[in-house]
Amino acid sequence: METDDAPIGPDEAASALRQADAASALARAVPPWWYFVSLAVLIAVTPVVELAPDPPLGVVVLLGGIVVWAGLFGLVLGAFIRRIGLLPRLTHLDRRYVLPPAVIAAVIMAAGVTVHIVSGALWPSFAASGLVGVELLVVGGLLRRVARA
Amino acid sequence: MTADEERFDAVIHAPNRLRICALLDAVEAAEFGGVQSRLDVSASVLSKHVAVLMDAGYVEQRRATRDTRQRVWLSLTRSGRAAYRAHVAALRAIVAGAE
Repeated sequence: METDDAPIGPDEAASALRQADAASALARAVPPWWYFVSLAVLIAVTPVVELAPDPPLGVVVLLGGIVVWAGLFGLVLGAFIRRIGLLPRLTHLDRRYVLPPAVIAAVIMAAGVTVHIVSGALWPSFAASGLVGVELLVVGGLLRRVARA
Repeated sequence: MTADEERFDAVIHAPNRLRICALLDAVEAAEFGGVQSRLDVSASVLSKHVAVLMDAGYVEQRRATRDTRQRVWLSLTRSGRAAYRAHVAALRAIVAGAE
């Protein structure tokens, strides 16, 4: 503890803390609408991998699809970071807006995969990823509203 | 340095440098122009304070070129983040000590 001989008084310290809090709040950026739309589309189309033909062609198509998907994901993420001029700190994210949607998405995807495995039908996977995409749009709208507040 | 350690830091305490550190502590990195516009300071003022923070080893900058345009990204170093948090803890201790 090195504040026994504090070089400033409590009023100046309180003022400095207010300035620091205000500056920290400026790091809150409003994510552009296209960011969430792009991510939602990328998530919604992921079950397309199940339409890949049988190996060996299927493996090539699958790997190519993963590369293209990862490339598009990187492009969206890079454009988002350049647009807001900030590289967000993940540990700084408000868990109230991250954990519940992540849990819901995990439950939806687990349900979709389970029904797909049991029924053998493809639609549950598309329905689940589509629902997660819609959820992302809803959460994105909420995050934009919170960031604007 | 632990997260709870309190240490008043004269380098960080200058108003603009405190605001720069506060903004950078909330992110992994921030683009120079973004910091400038958010804190509403001129490029020369920001450069001057960033140079002081870099000399202290608290801030580092990385240059990235895209579409022939060079951008500078600023981030707190590990010691810079620790020093900033220790400084904020010291400020809180000063305020708490007066209550």
